[in-house]
Amino acid sequence: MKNIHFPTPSTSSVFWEQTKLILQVRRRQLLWILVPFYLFVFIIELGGGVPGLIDRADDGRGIYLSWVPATEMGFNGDMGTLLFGWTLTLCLGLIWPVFVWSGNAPEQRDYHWTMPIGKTKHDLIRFAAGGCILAAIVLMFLLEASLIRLLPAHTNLFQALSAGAWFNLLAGPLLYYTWATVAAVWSNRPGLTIIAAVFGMMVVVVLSKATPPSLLATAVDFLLQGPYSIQSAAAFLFLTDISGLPKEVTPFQGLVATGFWLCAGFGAIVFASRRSQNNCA
Amino acid sequence: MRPFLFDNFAERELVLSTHGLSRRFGNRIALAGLDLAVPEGAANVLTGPNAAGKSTALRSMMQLTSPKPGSIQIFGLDVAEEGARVRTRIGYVPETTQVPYPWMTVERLLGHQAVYFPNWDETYAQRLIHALQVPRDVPYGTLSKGYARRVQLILALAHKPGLLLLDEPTDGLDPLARDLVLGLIVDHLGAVPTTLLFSTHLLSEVEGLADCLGLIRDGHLVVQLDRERLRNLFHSYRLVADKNWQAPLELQDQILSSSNSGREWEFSIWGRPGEVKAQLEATGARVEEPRHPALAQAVHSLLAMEVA
Repeated sequence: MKNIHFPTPSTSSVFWEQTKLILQVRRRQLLWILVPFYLFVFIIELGGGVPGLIDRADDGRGIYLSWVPATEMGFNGDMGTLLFGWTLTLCLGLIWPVFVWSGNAPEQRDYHWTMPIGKTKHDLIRFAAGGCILAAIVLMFLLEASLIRLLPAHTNLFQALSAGAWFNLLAGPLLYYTWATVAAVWSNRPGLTIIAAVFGMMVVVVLSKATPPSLLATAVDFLLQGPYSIQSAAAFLFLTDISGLPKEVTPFQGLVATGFWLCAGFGAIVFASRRSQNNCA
Repeated sequence: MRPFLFDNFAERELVLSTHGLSRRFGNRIALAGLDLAVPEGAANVLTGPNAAGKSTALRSMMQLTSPKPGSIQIFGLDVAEEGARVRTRIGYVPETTQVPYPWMTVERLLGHQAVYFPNWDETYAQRLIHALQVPRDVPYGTLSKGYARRVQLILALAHKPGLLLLDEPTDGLDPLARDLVLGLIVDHLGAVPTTLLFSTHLLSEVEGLADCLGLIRDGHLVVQLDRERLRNLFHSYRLVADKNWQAPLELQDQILSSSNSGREWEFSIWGRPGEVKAQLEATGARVEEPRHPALAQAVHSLLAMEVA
């Protein structure tokens, strides 16, 4: 053939386009989740409370809706960090891929795959765009928590956030986001797949505990509960920071676990992306 | 298989060629060793019955399905190795009108596409929007099939691709929309140097457009011809002869289809019309002037030949 020019799109332009798209696709739902979440953090920290169901048998009124002050919610500083840390880590990390890959299930990806960009590269760019937005959401929470602490009246719910907590609050959601992305890239029903995977893991844990020491128990311990487990990677510094909890995981083990599980998740996304391409109709 | 129905266009530069392209879905064979050649600058029509493998062939070219085995070369590049680069120079209109972002307005969708194609010509895109009377601020998902098709055409044309792959682009359109879409394709081919591969089974639409014909059936190519060659060498012959009349033996291989009613016979025969007519008349038959069949009739005869 004659000398033909093949102008491919730049990675940065595709990245920004994907970032804009993710923010546009479900912006209403995103606002409905994030705004109440940030407000909740604000109200709790300023010594407010939340509407809650109160069970009062003594006055004969039974269960009724009432305002529950933050001081009566049983939080202390560490528990506040832990609660919000886990909310962000688990809920946001697992739900976020469903937002990111909305309309992009394998069976809906033909349109993208006609674009002049490698398919796996395209999937990874979208994953990176979603990861950056997720990190921004978490950073906004951390910023809010830090700013509130500067106000004169606050409940000190978030005690001084240690460097470890900062690290975990960023790494935890990204870690779960990475693994939940595997389901989104792999399956046409990512929400159901994630729920099934979480439920399946719970069943495996229960089974491993119910049986005498075995290969299964060892594998479960390594994958889910041990010092190099995904749990350790997502929350090791929370666990070690909170007084009263056994310091089972050293920061070194936690960091190694974080690196390992992030890399493994990344590899799993590449594998899932290639599998989707090979299985296309 | 009749060799005279295959032209490999060896003397012409090929934009696209497939080699032994095969694909199976479960027990169904979609492609069975397809060897297609698409010469540069030509309007190539790929036709065949439903489920012949036309869409699978085009999807393979876009890497939407993986041939197993087989290879595709486009612009001299192996699609399996350089698919992303190849797609920068392809405009593709798929069989369906779905996109993953039905909420996007037409303007936003075009903007999205433009990000991926550095050659995107915004002025040309706007001109196409105007010519096709497409509303810009309406969500794509609310458009009728006719308007969605128009938008898909703009998406495929605005970066002025060297190769245009159209998979039944007029299917399901009303006659007005069909004329508009076909007119736009003709105008584009006149204005921008483009090789076209147009998959359709509505041959009356492409009668005036086709330069080359590929006929696909059961996943493999049964005919691949230059239109000029088809026009010069493929004719219908009507003749009157005795009831016991038999076609000359030397024409047997060239007869592609035949029918008879009493003493009247109708043949589709490959060969120079003067020579064929003379051979038929030599058997005592009274032969009318040979006729050029329309493209649709020619394809019908060619398909009948394969069944026989």
